[in-house]
Amino acid sequence: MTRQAPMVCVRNLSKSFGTNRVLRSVELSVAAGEVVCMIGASGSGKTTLLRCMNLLTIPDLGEVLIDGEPVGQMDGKGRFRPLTDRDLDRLRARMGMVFQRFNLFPHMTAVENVMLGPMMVRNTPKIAARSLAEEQLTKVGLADKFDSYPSKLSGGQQQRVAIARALAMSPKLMLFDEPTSTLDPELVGEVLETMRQLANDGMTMVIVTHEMDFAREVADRVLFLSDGQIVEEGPPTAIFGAPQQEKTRNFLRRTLRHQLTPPTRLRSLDVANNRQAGKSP
Amino acid sequence: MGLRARLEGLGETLEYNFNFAVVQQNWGYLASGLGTTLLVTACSLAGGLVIGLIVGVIRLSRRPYIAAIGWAYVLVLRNTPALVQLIWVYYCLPILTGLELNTITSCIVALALHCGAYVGEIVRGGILGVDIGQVEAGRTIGMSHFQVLRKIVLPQAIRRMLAPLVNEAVTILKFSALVSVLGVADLMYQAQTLATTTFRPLEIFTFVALEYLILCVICSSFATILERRFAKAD
Repeated sequence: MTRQAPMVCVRNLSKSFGTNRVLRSVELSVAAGEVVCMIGASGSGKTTLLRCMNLLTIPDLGEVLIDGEPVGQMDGKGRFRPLTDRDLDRLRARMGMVFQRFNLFPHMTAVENVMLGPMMVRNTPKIAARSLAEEQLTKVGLADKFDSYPSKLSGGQQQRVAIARALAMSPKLMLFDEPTSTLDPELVGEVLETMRQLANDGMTMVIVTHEMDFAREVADRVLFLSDGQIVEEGPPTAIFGAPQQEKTRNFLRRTLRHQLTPPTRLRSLDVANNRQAGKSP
Repeated sequence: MGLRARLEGLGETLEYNFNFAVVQQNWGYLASGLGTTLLVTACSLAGGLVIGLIVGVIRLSRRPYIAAIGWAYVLVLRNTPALVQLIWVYYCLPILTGLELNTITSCIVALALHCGAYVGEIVRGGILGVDIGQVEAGRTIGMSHFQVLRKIVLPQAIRRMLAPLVNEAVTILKFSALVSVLGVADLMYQAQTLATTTFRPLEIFTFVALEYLILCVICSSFATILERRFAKAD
């Protein structure tokens, strides 16, 4: 290894849905071991940028390289042509993805959800896959939920199973698409804690999030997106402490007020507490 | 023993004495059609399920010309009468392909083709009903399209497909009576033969209707049991 290629390299990436230009010539490079958080208003293109990295969304123009390998090629006109399915599957197996709505397989138990990838993609024998899955689930704190179906788990537990499922493929890169935004407030912490551990273990992570405190604490670099462009990027202290761009300042003022003002936060916690109190007599 | 009925029409009154003894006397003959009916139904259904699975998946292909093949298949088979298809397969297929099929085989082929179109739509609906996030989750762990279909999408789709599939099974069971037109000795054919020789059509066809009714009810209740078992697994 003479030169370490960046884990993710995005060049001149553009994507439109109809007439709506979601990404405008985005350039981004993520080093191995780096934790990058993407923030921005909804519709700013953060999720699309993330999904372009593993081609769940196919970009119109530009280039994406994962661990030095292109996920697609440009034809003569610079238009994007994804890899053949087979090569793409191979590349995707190196990236884990965690979704906003978990997307666990409802007809399989937690452990079966985690076993499936190794068995189908890596041809791991069933017994080995099972012990691998149990190890991963134990790591995310679900040692007592191996044989539970997703419908019997809380949102936070489901999301941790989803993280374990992605980790079972030993990815070099983890993509998170708003992993806590559909969770009840009292369940957000356990998922963030799992992600924090993953970051401490040196995993390369790209995270779309609305959890500003988490971004401030865990991210090596924060990107602020607006209208399909990276408006500002830098270490969290700079972005949150002294944002240079007007758009960033406006966004942060709105978001942080929303997150920190006691009434909203407390009200939702009160509701949660009441609900719990109501359950157990 | 008998049952009297007054049939009134055209200003005349007819007296008809129902005599179900004819059914009792020819029990064995009538029942001999049952095996053929069940055989034709089972084979057509099995063929229809295989064809339907392929057609349903083909219709969802990302390649438009492949999807169009499935679309055309469903279009033709759903918009022509089953009886016409049956006769067409029996008379025209051998001429076009040079393939000589015996009567019962061509009946099974025709009904399977017919059934396949409907099952194809059921399969398509079932697959479309599965959340796209499930497919994405499978693809992101590196599973191929086919693996995702087999391990993730179809197991979930099948639960949705169960009820309409039983519906289709019942339909094919009833449609199997059409094969009597080509002289296959099923329940209906045996009944027709008996009716013309005994001049007792009312009793015989009433009895045959009863037989189909019982068969279809058994088929439907089997589905209810299956559905309950699936519900328990959730």
